Amino acid sequence: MPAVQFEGELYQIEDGENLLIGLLRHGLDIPNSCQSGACQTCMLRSPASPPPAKSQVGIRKNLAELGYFVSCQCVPTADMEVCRPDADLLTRTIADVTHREDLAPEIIRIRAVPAEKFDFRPGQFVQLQSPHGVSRSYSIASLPDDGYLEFHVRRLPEGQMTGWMFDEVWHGAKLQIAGPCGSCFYYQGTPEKPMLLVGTGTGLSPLIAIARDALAAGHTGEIHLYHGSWNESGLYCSAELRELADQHLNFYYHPCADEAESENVQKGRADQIALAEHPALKGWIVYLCGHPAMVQLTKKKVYLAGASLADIYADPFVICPK
Amino acid sequence: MSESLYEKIGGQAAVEAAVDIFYRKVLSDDRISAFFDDVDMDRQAAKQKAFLTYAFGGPANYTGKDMRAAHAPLVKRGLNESHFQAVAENLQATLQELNVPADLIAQVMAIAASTHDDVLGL
Repeated sequence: MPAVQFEGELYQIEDGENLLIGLLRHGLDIPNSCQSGACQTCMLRSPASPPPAKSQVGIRKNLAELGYFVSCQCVPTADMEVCRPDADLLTRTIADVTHREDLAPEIIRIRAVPAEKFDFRPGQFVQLQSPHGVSRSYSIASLPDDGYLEFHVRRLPEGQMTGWMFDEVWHGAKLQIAGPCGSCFYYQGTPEKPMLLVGTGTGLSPLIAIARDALAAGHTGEIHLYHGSWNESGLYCSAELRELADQHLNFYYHPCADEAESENVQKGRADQIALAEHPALKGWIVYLCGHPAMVQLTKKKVYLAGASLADIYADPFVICPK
Repeated sequence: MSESLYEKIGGQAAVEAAVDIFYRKVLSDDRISAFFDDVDMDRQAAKQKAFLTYAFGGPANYTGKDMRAAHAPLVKRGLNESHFQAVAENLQATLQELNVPADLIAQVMAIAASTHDDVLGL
């Protein structure tokens, strides 16, 4: 009879019994619905060892790599250690701020070094907590090899979190970090597939990480990054991105602004320009980050343009009400 | 033991193939696409996968009560017979596109039709 470790306790699972039923039988609260592997409500994670293959059918490939599986399709044949999908949010890490700079009007870059080992995939997000107990999600714009976590922060009018960060987070400050989480990161298994990255505002931050990660992993397919802003001053990191495009023949940087003035900035919305230039997206991998309405609408459009749902990664940057 | 409908159609792999075609048809269909404007696409696709598993005679934990509760807000927004038929047409077209034999399509359509009253809250 296999034993399964979950939230600090050991549970016996009957031979042939699926993990969901076993854990429910022990009185645990595991959300579930269809119990046939379709709805993925009962998703759990086995971070240390791969779960049975059958339990990962239909799971996004990059999440499968991190050990995510559906518990109703998992019949343990050996002992396992599992956790809830968001278990990483329960552990807090301190990171020391080592760098801060202005990237654009009202947008800053903050780099912080975690005090202990912090595993993440570039493009995932963490929750930052202020000393006042306010907690918000920020995408990681850096790679593990950089040695620091980088965040791009836009100041929001009366924003509790961003107000604190702009006013008080300087070199030497400490950040409380929980995570990482999210599925918005690169998957190494399909290096030849073309990639479309569309971000507005600081939605650029995870996309920079994903593009750099893909290029570092030797991605051979074309990578098109569209960054959108109302005016050109919001197109931050453009020098870095142009340099990246110069270094890699398969990386294309497309800055877009509603009020474009320069020749090398396209006039209009990033999502609309991206779709006009790439109307057929069958076989593409798509990442969408930024304004929630843009993300939701574009997700539908890229799906109807042929991209598979499993290949569309969307990260809406929701602004919390005051 | 003879093969079940689910096995004949191709099981989970058939569901995966069908959901991609079916959901795209539904979203592109002007008669019904407005009902899907505010939904989370991943969750909706998962629900459709569960529904297709059920309609294909597969191991789905389906209850008429869930189907009724899930569609009740849509009924309030005007979901009616014509919309049900539109979805049914899309399902049929999906199966034809996947070259499912006609006798199996008929069986799937019969299962789908059995949800009629629960979906429309009758």
